[in-house]
Amino acid sequence: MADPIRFEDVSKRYGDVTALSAVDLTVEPGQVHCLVGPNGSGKTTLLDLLLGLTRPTSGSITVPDVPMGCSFQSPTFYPGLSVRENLDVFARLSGCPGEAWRERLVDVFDLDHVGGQLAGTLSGGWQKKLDLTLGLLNRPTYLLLDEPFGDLDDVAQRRLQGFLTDYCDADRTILVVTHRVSAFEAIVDRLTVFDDGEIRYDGAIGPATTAHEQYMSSLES
Amino acid sequence: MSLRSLLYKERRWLRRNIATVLLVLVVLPAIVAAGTVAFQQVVPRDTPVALVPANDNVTDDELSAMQGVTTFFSDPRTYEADEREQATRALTREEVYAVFVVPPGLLNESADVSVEMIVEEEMVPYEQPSLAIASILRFQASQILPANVGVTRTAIGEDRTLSEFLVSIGAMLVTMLFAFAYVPYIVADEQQVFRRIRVESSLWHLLASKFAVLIPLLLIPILTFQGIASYLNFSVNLLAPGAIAVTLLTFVYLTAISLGIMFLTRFETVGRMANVTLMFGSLAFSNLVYPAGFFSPLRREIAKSSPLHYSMVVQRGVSLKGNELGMYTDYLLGLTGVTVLCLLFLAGSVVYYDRGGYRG
Repeated sequence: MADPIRFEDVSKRYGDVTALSAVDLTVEPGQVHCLVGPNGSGKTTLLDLLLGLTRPTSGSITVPDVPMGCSFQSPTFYPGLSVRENLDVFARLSGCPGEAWRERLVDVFDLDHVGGQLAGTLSGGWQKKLDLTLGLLNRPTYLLLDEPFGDLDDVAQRRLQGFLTDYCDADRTILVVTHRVSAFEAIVDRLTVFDDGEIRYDGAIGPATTAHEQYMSSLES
Repeated sequence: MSLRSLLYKERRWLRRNIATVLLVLVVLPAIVAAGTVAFQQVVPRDTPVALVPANDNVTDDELSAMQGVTTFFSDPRTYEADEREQATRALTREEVYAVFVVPPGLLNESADVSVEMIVEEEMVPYEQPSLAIASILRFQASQILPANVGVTRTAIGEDRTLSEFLVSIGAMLVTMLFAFAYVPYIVADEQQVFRRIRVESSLWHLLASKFAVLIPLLLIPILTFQGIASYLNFSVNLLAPGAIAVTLLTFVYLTAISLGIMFLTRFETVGRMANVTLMFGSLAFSNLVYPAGFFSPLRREIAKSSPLHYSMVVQRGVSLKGNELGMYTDYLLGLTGVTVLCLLFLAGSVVYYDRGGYRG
C-alpha cells in the first residue's frame, strides 16, 4: 500500500492574498477523498502544491514516489492535435502501462467517436472526457481530479462514477476537488471542507449524514 | 524518454500544420528573395573610414589636415603607416567602409598629390556614396589644403549587384521573423498544455524539443533563398557552412530572447507586442542594409552595440564576400557569449514562470 500524502502547516500566499493558511492534512491511501469548498477557498491551490506546480510559502508537503495522474479544471491538451494524437503523445509521456488499458479508457469515455477530431474543436464535455482520460493513462496510484464532473452530461457522470468506484481500491486513492459535493455522495469516503484557505472540517462521512449536509453545516458553523 | 515523446509530438504537429509551415518557410522567403530585384538605389551619409599614411614621410600635421577634410563626410580613424594591412582587414570586417591612403606633401603648396580611396565592391549600398565622397573630398581638399590634391578610387573584391547584396539580408530578415513572430506564436498556442507538461515532463524538455525541431527547420527558408538566388544567377552562397552556422546561432539567441519575453510576460499579448517591437527595432537600428553610421553617429553606436549587426557582418562576409569564417573569430566568440546570455535569460524567465504557479 502506498504511503499517505501529508501537508504539514502549509501556507501559500500570492502577494497580499492568502490562498492557504496553516493547513494540516493527510490523504490516506485507498479512499475517495473529497476536498470541497466555495469558489476561491484554496482547493485548487492545494492541488497545485501537491503537483509541484507552485511552492508553499511555508510548511512542508510529503508526496509518495508513486504514479500520479491528474485532470485539471481547465482542459490541458494540445488543441492543434487530434484526440488520438493527444492520446499517443501523453501515453508516451506519462508511461501508459499498455494498449489494453488505453483502449479501456477510450471505451469508458466513449472517445472513439471523436478520435480524429482536433481536440481544440471539441465541446466542453468531450474536452473534459479527454482530459480525464489523459490523467488516467499512466494508471496512477494517486488520481487527482479538479472538478471532474464539470461539463459532463448525466450519462457520462454516471459512467465516471462507476469507473471511479471500481478504480479506487486498497492501492489507489482518488482526491477530488469540487465545490459540488452532492455529485460525489455515492462514492466519497472522506470529506475535507475548505473556506478562506482554512480547513473547517476533515473527517469521514458518517451514516447519519450526507456529505452535502456535512459540508453545509461546516460552512454554517 | 520524455524528450523522445515530445519530439514525436513535434512530428505530429508538423504534419498537422504543413500548410502554415510552407507558407512561412517557403512562400514568404521566396517572395522576399525575388523582391530584392526591385531595389536599385541607396542614400548616402557619414560612416567610419580609415586614414592610413602612405609612408613614414607623412607628418602628423598632414594626417590631422586630412582628418579635418574627411570629417565632412565620415568618422575618420587614423592608423600608422605600417598598419595598412590592419586597415584593409577593418574594411573587410566592416569596421570601416573606406580606407584613405594619405600621401606626403598635403601641406606643400607646390605639390601634386593623390589620395587613394579604397572601398569594397561587395558593399553595394556604399558604391554610389563612395563616388560622391571622392568628389566631395576632391572639392574640400582643393578648398582647404595647400597642395593640388587628386583622389583615385580603388574598388577591391568582387562586383556584386544590389539584388545579390539584399539576398543575404533577406535570409537574416526571415530568421528574425521566424524567431520574433512565428516561434512565440506556436509556443503560446500550446500554453494550455503547460500544466500537464509540467506534471508529466518539464518545460525544459518542451523547450529542448522545440529547439531541436525549429533549428533544422530554419534551413528550409535558407535553402529556398539559395534556390531563388541560384535561379537568378546571383553570386551568393548562403549554404556556406560558416553562413549557416552564424544564421543558426543568430536564430538561437533571437529565439531565446523572444521566448524569454513570452515566459516573462506569461504569454500575455504584451509579450507578443514586445517581440514585434523588438524585431522592428532590431531591423531599423542594426544597420543590416546600410553601413553603420549611414544616417547618424547615434545610429552607428546603436548598431555597433547590436549583436544582430555582427551576425549580419559575418553572414555577409562569408556568403557574399567569400571570406573565411576565421576572419570573424572575435565576432563569433562575442555572438556565442551573447547566445549563452540569452539562453540564461530564457532559463531565468522559465524559472520565474514555473515558480509563479498557475494564474490561468
